[in-house]
Formats: sequence, C-alpha cells, structure tokens
Amino acid sequence: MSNFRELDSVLARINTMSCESRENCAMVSSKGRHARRRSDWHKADDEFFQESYPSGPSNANDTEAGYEDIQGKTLKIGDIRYTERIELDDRIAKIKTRAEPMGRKRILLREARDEPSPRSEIVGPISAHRKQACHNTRICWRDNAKLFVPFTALLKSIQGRFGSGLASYFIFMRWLLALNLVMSLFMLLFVVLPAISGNAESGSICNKRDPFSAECCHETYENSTLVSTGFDAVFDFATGTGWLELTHLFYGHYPNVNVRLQFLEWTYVFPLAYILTCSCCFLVSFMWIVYEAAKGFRESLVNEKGSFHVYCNVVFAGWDFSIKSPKSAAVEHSVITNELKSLLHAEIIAEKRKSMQSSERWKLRFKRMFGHFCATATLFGSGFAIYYASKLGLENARISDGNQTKEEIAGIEVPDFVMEYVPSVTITVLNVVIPPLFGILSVFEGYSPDQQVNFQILRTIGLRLASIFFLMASFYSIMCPAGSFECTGTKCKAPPCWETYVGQELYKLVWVDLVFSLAMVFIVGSLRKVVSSAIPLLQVDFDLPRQVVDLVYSQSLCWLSILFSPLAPLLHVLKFLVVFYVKQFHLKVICAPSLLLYRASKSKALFMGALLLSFLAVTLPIGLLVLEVPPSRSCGPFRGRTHMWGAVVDSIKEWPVWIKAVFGFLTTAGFVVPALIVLILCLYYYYAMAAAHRSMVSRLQDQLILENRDKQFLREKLEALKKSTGRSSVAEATPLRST
Amino acid sequence: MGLSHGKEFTQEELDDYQILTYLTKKEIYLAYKKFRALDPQKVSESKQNPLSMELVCTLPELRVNPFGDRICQVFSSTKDGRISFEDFLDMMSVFSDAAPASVKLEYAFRIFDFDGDDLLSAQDLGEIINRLVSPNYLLPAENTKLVGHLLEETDLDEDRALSFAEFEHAVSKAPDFVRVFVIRL
Repeated sequence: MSNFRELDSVLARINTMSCESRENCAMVSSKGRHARRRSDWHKADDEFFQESYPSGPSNANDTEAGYEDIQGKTLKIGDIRYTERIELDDRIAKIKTRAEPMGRKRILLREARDEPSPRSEIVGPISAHRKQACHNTRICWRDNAKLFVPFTALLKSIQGRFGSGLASYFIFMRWLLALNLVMSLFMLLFVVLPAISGNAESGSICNKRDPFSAECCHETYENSTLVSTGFDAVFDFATGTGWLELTHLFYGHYPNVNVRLQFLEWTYVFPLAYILTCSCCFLVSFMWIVYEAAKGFRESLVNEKGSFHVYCNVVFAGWDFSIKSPKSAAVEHSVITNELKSLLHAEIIAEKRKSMQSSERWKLRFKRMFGHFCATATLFGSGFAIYYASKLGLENARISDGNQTKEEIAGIEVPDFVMEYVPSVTITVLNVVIPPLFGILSVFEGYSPDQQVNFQILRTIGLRLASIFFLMASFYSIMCPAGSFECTGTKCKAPPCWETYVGQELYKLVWVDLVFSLAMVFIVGSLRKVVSSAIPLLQVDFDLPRQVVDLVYSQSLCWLSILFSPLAPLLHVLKFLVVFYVKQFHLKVICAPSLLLYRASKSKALFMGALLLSFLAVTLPIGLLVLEVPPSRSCGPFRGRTHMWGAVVDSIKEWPVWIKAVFGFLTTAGFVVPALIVLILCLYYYYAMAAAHRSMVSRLQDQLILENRDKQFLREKLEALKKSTGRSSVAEATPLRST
Repeated sequence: MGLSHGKEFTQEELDDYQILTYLTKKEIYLAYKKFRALDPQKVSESKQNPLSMELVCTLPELRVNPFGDRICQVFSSTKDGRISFEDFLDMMSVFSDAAPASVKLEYAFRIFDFDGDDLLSAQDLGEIINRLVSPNYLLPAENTKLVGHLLEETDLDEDRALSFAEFEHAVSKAPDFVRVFVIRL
C-alpha cells in the first residue's frame, strides 16, 4: 500500500515539474483550449512575451489586457513555485535572457535579490557571498580570456568588411596556427631541448673493431656531410643540406641512446621520447580536429536530411549585421540579390531537367562521365609526373652523395641546384596549374554552381593528396634495409640517411610552396589587378575553396614532416604567420569583392572535413613507415633497430611482468574480438538513437502541424460564433486575431 | 576616455550591467564611449537621456543595415525609436557574440515583424526581401515566388504566416543566423 502512495507522490511531482516546464499547466487546464494554444507557442523562458509588447496594437483592447492579467497572475504563482526551487543565480540568468528593456530587468533583478529564497537561507550568507565572488571572478576571467586571443581586432575588421564567411577562413588559419604552436611546443620541450641540453650516455662511441656498427656508420655520415661557407651556406639553407643537415632541424642529428639531462639529473630514453612525442602530436591533432569537426557538423547537419532550408538561410541569415562600411554593404546587397536570383534560377533548371528528353539526358550523362574520366586521368598523370620528378631528384642526390670526392661535388653546383628543386617545383606547379583546369572542366559538365564548387574542391584535394602519395611512393624505393656489412643499402643506392633526405624534400616543398603563394599574390595578383582595370574579366577573386585547400595542404605537409624534422611545426607556425598577413593583403588590396555568398556554417564543416580527410591520408603512410620500414643505420634516434616502433616495444619489455602481461593480453584475440564487438554494439546503439531522434523530430513536426490545424479550426468556429452572436462577443474573440 | 574611469557609472550600475548583459566590463565602457560620441553633451548630462532614432542610426553598422530603423524601434524602451544608453546596452548585448541564440531569435523576430502583429506575414517577408536586395531590384513576381518558397519551407500550419514557434523552427535550420546576427563593439 505504502508503495502505491510513494508512486503517487512521485507521479504528482513529475506532473508539477512538467507543468512548470511546459509553462503553467494550471492555466492550461483551467482556461481550456485557446489558452493552451497561446502558451504552447512560447518557451518556458519567455512568459512575459506578451507583456513585452505593451505598445503593440494588441494592447489597445481591454479584453486582451484582461486576458493578460489572468495569464500574468497564473504566471506569478508559477513563478513563485518555480523560484522556490531554483537559486538566485538561475533566477538572474533567467532575467538576463528576458527580452525586456534594461530598466525593467534591473527592477526584476532587485526584486529577485531582495526576495530571500529558502535555499540560500539554509546555506547561509557566507556561501552566498562566495558565490557572488565566484561569479565575479568568472566575469573577470571571461574579461581577461578575451585579451589573450590574438588577431581579434584584425578578424573583426575583416568580418566588418567582407562578411563572416571570409572571416571564418582566417579563423581557420588562426586555429591552424594554434594547433601548430601546440605541436611545436611539444616537440621543443620533449625532443629538441633534451637533445640540445642533455649529454649522451656512453655507448655511443664508434668501436673500430666493427666498422659497420650503427655508431661507426653515424660517424662516417656526419663526417661525410659537407659543411660549406659563404654563398654555399645560403644555398644550403634553402635546400636543407650541408650545415643545416647537421642541426636539430632534421631527424639524422638526434641521438639514439639515453640522455642525461643536465639540470635535472634524469635519464631520458631518447628514442622512446621521440616516437612518443610524435605520436602525441598526431593524437592531439586528431582529437582537436574531431572536436572542431563535430562542432561544425552539428551546426551544418541540424536538419535530419542534412540539407538546409536554403531560402530561410538567405532571407533570415543573409544579412551580416556586423558589416559597417557602405561599400561592403552595397556588395552584400548585390550578393544577396544574386543568391536569391540563382536560387530561383536553379528551380527553373531543375524543372527543365525534369522535362528533359532522354537523349539529352544521356548526352549530359556522357559529358559528366567524360569529365570525371578527364579529372581522374589528370590526377594520375600529375601523380606520375611527381613520381618521376622525385626519382630524378633522387638520382641526383645519389650522385652527390655517392663515391665522389668533395671537389667533384663542388664542381657540379649549378645544375645541382636546379635538380634539387625539380620534385618540389613540379608538385607546386601542378598544384597551381591544375585546379583552374578543373574549374573549366566543371563548367563544361553543366552542374549547378553549388555542385561545381563541391566537385572542384574534391578534385583539388584529390590532386593534393595524390601528389603527397606519389611523393611518398617515390621515397619508398629508397627505404631498403642495409646488409650487415654496409652502412647504407647499396642495392637501392639509398642516401646515407633517407629520413633526413625525406625531411629535406619536405623542407624544400615548404619553401617552394611559400614562395609560389607569395608570387601568386604579389606578382600575378598585382599584374591582374592592373590589367583588370582595362579587362574586367581578369579580375582577381578571393577563391575561398581553393585557398582553404592550400591551407589544408600546408598542414598535411607539416604532419608529414614531423617525424623527419621535429622542428617542422615551428617552421609552419612561421609560415602560417606570413601567409596570414599576406592573405589579408591579398584580400584587402588585390581582390575584387566576391560575388559568391560564402556561408560561415557550411564552410566550417567543409574546412574541417577536408582537414580530417587529409589528416587520415597522411597518417596512413606515416603509421606504416613507423611500424614496418627499417630506419637507416647511420643516423637518427632509431639507428640499429628493425623499425621505429621497436623503441616502444623495447621499453615495454623492461617493465614489470604484470604490465607486460596486461599488454600481452591487450594484443590477443581474446581481448580484441570482444572489444570490437562492444564497439560495434556502441555504434549500433548510437545509430539506433539517432534514428529514434529522427523519427521523434518528424513526429513533433507533425504534432506542430496538427496543433496549428486545431488552432485554425477553432478560429474559424469563433469567427462564425462572432458573426452569429453579434458585437458582444467580438471583444472576446479579438485576442485570437493576433495568432 | 580611458577604461580606468569609474565615474561614468556607479558600482551598482556597473554590476547590474555586467550581470544583465552579455558584455564584459571593457565592452560596457566601450559601448558608453561609442554612445556618448553620438551626442556628448546630452549623454554626459544623464545616461537616461534618449537620443533620436536618426542620430543613433548614424552608427556605421546601423546606417548600412537594411533593418537599422527596425532595430532602433525594437530596442527603444519608450517604443518610439528613441534610444537611451540602457537601450543601447541592451542592443549591444543582444548583438554580442556571447548572447545565446534564443535571445537573438526573440529580437530578430520582432525586428522582422514590421506591423507588430506577432506574426511574420507574407507582407513582412516580402518587405524583408525587398530591404535585403534594396538598391537592386527584384520583379514583384520574383518576390512573390520567393515568399512562396520561403513559406513552403517554414509555414507548418499553412496559414501563410510565421508564428514565433515556426520562425524559431525555421531559423534552427539556418545555422548561419547566430553568426550573422552579431554587431561587434
């Protein structure tokens, strides 16, 4: 029996709670249908929505006022009941969100403060005081945190002049800067600093009895590297060879033994630190990207079908309120006009397509297939071009690293310089030349403008990734194990330290990429700007998709080179800083205002999606390399091991038995299979949840429609009633007019 | 005018403003500076002195904004378009980055509701579109067609008008809204 009573009281409590949250059920039940109609339409937070329209025409009517009085009273009762439960903070937060003038809010705030809530009495004044202090610190913290976000003023001016879509590009770049800064901090703290400040422990000295030991090979390698002076030193700086090769910029120079840190007297297992720090960088990037991407996707995929309400987005969210210069306002006006017109145009095209004859349809399909074929062929063509170019560069490197004397190397300096740059220049030229071709191709294929942009981005990213893949593939040929009686693999004539070689190639690529993008802005851009005054067709447009792809590509180069040159993130921080300012100049001075409306939400999801894609594409070869490929014998922290991950395996071997047992268990099928099953179940659970939410959304939508039909029906009834009973009931029916 | 000055506001006012708006202390001072620059004499006399709509609309963001006059009307506590400092603070708070979507929505609805009947009717929508394209021109037929498409997307109960709930629902699918409905101090 008591059980029943308990259940009853619980039910009652649930009832009151849901009543309060659904804005006063008491009123609903007492005032019947048309009261609920009103109340349901507004959220619990804005009970005073009606009151806040005091000057509206609705208030002129007495009956309306009376009605509101009743509503107001019931609300007050509800309010008191409600406020008994929530604390002062919540009440204040609630007042804050009210859409009312400041004067009224301040009165409400004073009332809320004066009115003692039972809860705060119990907890006592000290706690309340502390809470206030805490609130103030929170405000202070919020105040100060804003000061530390760099470029805020710059971004503000960009947003004011060019709208939020383009600002989101620069925000993305700032985010990349932050990511690289974090990664470079990691690398500096855990790899570069220990390597510079620490003393290598014994065991790293070449024993003459075994000339092909890792130590002796290393010594030979360091001695054979030519350190030049004068002009050659500058040349070396640009190519990453010579003196630069023997700095901590590249993999080859790092020790392979434990390091004693000078100040801390700790032993630092260097190879382990190296591989773990690199992995950490990847992990941090991955998690950060996923976090940001999830945010972006959440925003862009609100609709269950993933498509926007396009017209809504243009009309209600079309005008960027932050715009303040008349010039960009005029641009914004014409951009919105264009957008609206193109939407109407797209509608017409879609209708036309529906009525298209089958022969025309086949023609279009054929055209598109041909377009895809061309794009794929171009991708592969440029891929092979890169492959051969980098082979050519490698041949050259072999010559200079081979059996020649130092004099001979100095003799072939000039063609050497050209040859050094063949692979990176090839890649960059292709990246500059091919995307416009894709642009022409997509016009020819007859897609809608939206699809055109999407295809162009996809293909451009494909090109970038393909170039990276083919580059890696060409490097793969030099990654061959050295026999036991040689320092480098003679079979494939590898350079003495292929990791450094790869690092150098990527280093050169960074330079060439930077130089080309500067040239594109300052030389090509300014030329076009001058010419475009005569020929408007040549106007420079800030092509957002292509710019983003450029950024993503730079970032993937950074990830790619972390392992081979630990200072790469730092280099990229500098590069992004330069690019940040240069692109601003590009946008502000050179570019004509874009007539495409870039939507911030859509672009953010797009940026992060592209970044995630290329991150995965980079991680795959790097992961394979770490796990499978033998590191070169004469350099780097992993010399003498069979593969880089071996450093981790070795250190696990030194751990206590039970941890080893745990790790051993983690790799057996007994663990992996159940874990996989659990993962799949989780996945299924979330999938089911998503499906349930989807159906819930559609049901709620139906309910909304039904509710509205109800309303309409009632209104019609009332109208009829009004007519039949004459003037006396007119006043009563009036409040309904407004809905 | 530096930020260290404390005499513009009493401590209580400042506290209230910080609690009741989404602005930081620095931004409140900045807003005051901006507002005072419109009519230094009148504002220095009393913060409660309302300024005329024409004057407030000379602020760069409002001047170029097609809904500048509507914004003033909605935020005016005297309901005649005149804006006092507290109204201005309200405005800046709602348009700040920190303000949640629900608050922005509420005000957006009022701004778009030209005739103040608590509904966005087809006329309201047509007016919004006209103001958006403003110096350019859309044919009346195009305008009606656009309004038709818009209602098709958003009007759930088929009464050819948007209530606040429908507006809320619609804008939740226009994710740019929150980012665009921002005026930076």
